[in-house]
Amino acid sequence: MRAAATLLLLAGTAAFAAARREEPTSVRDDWPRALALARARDVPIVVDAWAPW
Amino acid sequence: MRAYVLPDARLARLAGRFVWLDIDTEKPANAPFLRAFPIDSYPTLLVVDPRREAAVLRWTGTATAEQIERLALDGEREMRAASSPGLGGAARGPDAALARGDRLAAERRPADAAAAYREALAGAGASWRERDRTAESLVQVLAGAGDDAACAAAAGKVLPQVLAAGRRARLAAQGLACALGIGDAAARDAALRVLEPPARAAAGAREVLADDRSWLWSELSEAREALGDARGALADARRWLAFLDGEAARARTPAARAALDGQRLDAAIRAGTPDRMLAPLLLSERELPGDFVPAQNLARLYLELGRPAEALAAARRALENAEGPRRVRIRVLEADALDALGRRAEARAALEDAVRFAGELPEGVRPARWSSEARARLERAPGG
Repeated sequence: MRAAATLLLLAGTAAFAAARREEPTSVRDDWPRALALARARDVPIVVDAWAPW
Repeated sequence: MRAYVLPDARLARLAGRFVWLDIDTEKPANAPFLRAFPIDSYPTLLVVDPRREAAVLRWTGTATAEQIERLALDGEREMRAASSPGLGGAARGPDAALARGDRLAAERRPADAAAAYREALAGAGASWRERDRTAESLVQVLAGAGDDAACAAAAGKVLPQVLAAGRRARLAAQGLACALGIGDAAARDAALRVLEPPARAAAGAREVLADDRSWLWSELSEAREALGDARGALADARRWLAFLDGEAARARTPAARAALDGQRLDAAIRAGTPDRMLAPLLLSERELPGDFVPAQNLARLYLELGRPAEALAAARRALENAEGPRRVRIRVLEADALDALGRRAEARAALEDAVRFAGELPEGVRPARWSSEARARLERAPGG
């Protein structure tokens, strides 16, 4: 039982990690956070700069 | 981009390759970003290299999800090339010129970028994959450089070769906008006559983004006016308004509908029926408490309708929620209302505040038109 629960937990964690990998990382109005995330992953930042009309 | 790009399925292919950052330029918290990356027009898409904190690609205006995917990948390639110039083989020919143009545009050197884009187009064959994108980038940067004549001429030249209807719509709209800015009337009219037929064709084409179709009708109406055809201008304004009314009726949320309010108000004023926007704007203000835009639009409408007391109240409601660059425009509206009410000293104080506030903004978001408008009105105002 405990082994099954551990397996389920591991499977869940793996699925969660996979899902996280698939989701584009989106940050709103927080340049320092976007910069830190992009540096940690060594990926570019795509910025949408807009104004309400 | 927020509304229709991030949810797009094609971005799943890019998962993990980018961080997507959404920047509302009206929020004071974004001032540090805007000091580092000035924004000249809206919307602007930037691809930023986080290690150098440098923009490697800048795109102004709308784009489809597919086009944004391509731009993001171009930016990524440029970032990798900058960090490892000896790896992967340098791009040659038109691809190298395009990459150079993108880099220069990202650095806000539009005249130099235009030269690079022209070089790319001149050196490429008819089947070059990036031809349409480069043509659009060229017209964008010429507009950004304020070279209206060159922008209109370039748009007229590239339009017949551009295949995608969406790009043709943006090129035609930008070309018309530039042509309308040409100071010499004969040169302006000649440019308008070249650009109007493809613009009119694009306005009726499918696969054109709603914002771009709206932009086209707006420019077409102004073009008819500039060419002395008041009836034609009115007819186009009515087409513009009918299109926007249809879009508003289809909007799924109050925010999506309200996002059309400013354009609908412009179209209604141009069509000579501003009063029809009173109910929709009041509804937007009721449904979006805390949003300054509906009250700003109402202030403009009330001034248009000759109701300055209500315009003043609306402007002051807008000021309660506006924290960013738009305060300059709203202060000018407030001054207009006060002036119409004969409260000249208060009008002057509102203009002084607009000028002071504009001076404190990062250069990258300072509203050039309304800052100089506030200064000019202040110089003309009594009591100075």
